[in-house]
Amino acid sequence: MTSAGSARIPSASPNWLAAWISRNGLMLAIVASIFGLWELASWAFAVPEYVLPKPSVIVGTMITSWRLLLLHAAVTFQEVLLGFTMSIVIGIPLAIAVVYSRLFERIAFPFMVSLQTVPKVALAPILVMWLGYGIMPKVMVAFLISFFPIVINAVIGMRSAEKEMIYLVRSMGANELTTFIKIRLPKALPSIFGGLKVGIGQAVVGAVVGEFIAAEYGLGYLQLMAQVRLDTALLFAAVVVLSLLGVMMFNVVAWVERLMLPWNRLATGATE
Amino acid sequence: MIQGAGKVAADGSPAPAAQRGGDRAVSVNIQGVSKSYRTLRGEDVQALDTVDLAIEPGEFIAIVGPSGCGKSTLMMLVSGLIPATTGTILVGDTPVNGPITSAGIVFQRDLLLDWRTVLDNVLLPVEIRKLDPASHLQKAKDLLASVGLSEFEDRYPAELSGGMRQRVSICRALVQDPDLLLMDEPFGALDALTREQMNQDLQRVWLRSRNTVVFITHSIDEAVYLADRVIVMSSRPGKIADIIKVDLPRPRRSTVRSDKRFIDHVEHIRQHFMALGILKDD
Repeated sequence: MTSAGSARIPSASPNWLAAWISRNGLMLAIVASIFGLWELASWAFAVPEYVLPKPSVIVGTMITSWRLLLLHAAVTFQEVLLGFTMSIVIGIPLAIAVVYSRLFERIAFPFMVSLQTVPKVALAPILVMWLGYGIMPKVMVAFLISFFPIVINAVIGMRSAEKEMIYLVRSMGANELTTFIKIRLPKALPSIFGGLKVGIGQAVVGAVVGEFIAAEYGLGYLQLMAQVRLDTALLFAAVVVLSLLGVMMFNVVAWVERLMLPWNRLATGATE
Repeated sequence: MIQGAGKVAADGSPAPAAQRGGDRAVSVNIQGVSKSYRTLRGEDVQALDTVDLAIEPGEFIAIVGPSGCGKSTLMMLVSGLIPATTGTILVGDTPVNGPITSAGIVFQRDLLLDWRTVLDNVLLPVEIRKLDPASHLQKAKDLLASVGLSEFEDRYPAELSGGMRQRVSICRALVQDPDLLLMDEPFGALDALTREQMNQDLQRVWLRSRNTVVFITHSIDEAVYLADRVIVMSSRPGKIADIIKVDLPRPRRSTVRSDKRFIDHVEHIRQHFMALGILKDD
């Protein structure tokens, strides 16, 4: 993914490439030397392929089995996306309800917090029993696991507006809706995005765990198959694709955040 | 009255803006107002004993007092954001029942919105009150220019210093030509030099707008420099201990601080705090 990104750039703008290398060069060098050492050590100590395949073998497997990996990755991607979207669509309105309704704050919120202590992974077999072998149980696990960080961060964010700030807009004649749109919601956005970033990573975990329990497709299912066949290289290839999937989805959230909150990096002092 | 004299002087010079602002300013009448509230432990605490105070249109009132004397409470009561326990407050002829929207408010914290540029922050009241954006845009730019922030219109608050941020929040309070300006220790978080500059800036802006101002501070020096009358408050429960007229001509320069009359006023107020046991010598 990264090499494709850099290959595209040089003709357009060599300065951009130089900046990119100076920013990410060290990290690339470290990653490259780890894989180099791995390759070298596997060769030097003659580590059997079924215990630890060389990076070159893993890459080779990824190239030869790309259709298989892509097919299963697409299913996992779909599950994560659906579960995550559900978390947002249900989580954000629920957070608003908790902030604005005393009833929700007193009853629903403590209920949700205590429910959060239940290991969602342990619910996966039950969900499979109820919802079958399709993508639905995986979507549900992804949803359950990514739902809490999203709700809780949204609630914290929407409560973070200063009391005086609320006074100030009240004195300008703002009603509750205006206060929400102009103050509470934008004020909450950095916190909401914090929750989304945690949530998207969790959603990937949820989907794969769901696939471990019972599935016919997905990268988790592919791993189980590879394990049974002692195809360690494919097992590793699935891990790599899964990581790439997670990183990609995280980066999409981070990119939307940067797009929506250009001011936030100034306010928090995080500059590039 | 002192305030009247000030206005005549302002009218004597060609200052149409001052006249318009003066006409729009309102009186504030605080009659038998007290405030008590219940703490989390269920105790009733009297924050403000009975206060009577008549503020004239276009008058600059400073309220000084120690922490916990209820001066902020008094300001909040005038704004209508919190209800009084007893008594009535009239802004103009209208009794205060709930938030009054004709006032501009400045708090100690600048409360700028991080996601809006400086100019958009100043225009927030215009947006919320659904006033005409076109005419107020120029007003906002003029205000920012008058406090030396023209170049910063398109910046975000995070790029500004504390003094600059508070200037923006004052511009925001003034953008809709409020009849009444309520300021709760607006310069309390600034360093001494910035603070002195802010006092001058505020006076200059106010001499043009001439609205009624209630300015809360715990700086005696600042109160005497800015105000037509200084209200001295004592604490627990808060009540008015004295009212001092400051008969210094405007515009007051920063050198006024070495004027005999200025020093006398400051000394007089300090004596009050010593008599009240708030200030003690070793």
